Amino acid sequence: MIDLTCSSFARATNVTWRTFDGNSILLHLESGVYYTLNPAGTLIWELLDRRIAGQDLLTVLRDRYSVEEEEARRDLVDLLEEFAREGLISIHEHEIKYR
Amino acid sequence: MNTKSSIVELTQPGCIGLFLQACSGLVTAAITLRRQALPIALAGLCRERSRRATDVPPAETIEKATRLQRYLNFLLTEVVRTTRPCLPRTLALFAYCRQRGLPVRFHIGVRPDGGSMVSHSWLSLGGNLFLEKPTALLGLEVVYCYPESIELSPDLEGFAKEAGTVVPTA
Repeated sequence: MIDLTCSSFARATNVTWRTFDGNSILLHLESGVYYTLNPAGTLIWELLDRRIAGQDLLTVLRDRYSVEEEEARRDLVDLLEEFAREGLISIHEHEIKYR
Repeated sequence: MNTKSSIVELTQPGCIGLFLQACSGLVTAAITLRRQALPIALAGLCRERSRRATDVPPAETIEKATRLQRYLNFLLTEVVRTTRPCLPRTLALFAYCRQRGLPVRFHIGVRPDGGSMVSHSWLSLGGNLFLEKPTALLGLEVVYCYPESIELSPDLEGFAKEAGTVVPTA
């Protein structure tokens, strides 16, 4: 399971997309599979434009949709796990700094 | 193109060769797509080269591509009976034109359709639709092009405009 506190995320390079009225259609160029995203998914997808920490994604999602943190966290983890499973994003573990 | 007219047409000189090219083009497109990502498949299929004086004249390539498209439509809709013929047809046409020095571009467009989505692929030549009806593209947003841009030599610009007006019957 993805841990938002110690991971950051970025779009995979082999995915192209278009947005229509807040919804998006993604095309994975390797698999040829299309995906559709609702406005909340599109918001996350747009934030993945550059490498972004999971905690920052959670903050934006929670603020935009005024939902409880736990609910936002659950939905975000589900979405990111699906993105990762389909090869739409890359996941980067944060470096652990030891004293 | 119904079965009877296709049989009549195939008795004409040069048609069987082109029909066999349509068959092999579809097989190649299917195998390539199964094995490779789309951008790599397109790069491999096009085997791009600059046009030379000895190349097939553009007008002849366009005329043959128009017939090839009819054969591809026939094979895909009447023989294979696929409900989504545009991608293999476009890939086979792309390979055919590119290998004859005609610098066509490949496009994929998408649009929402209720809760679902519609996608379509087509070719362009010099900014004009190539062997494609403008009505097929209504509401579509281009989501992918290959190559990203292209410089058209002056001698091809006239053919590009002419080809853009061609509306083949399926």
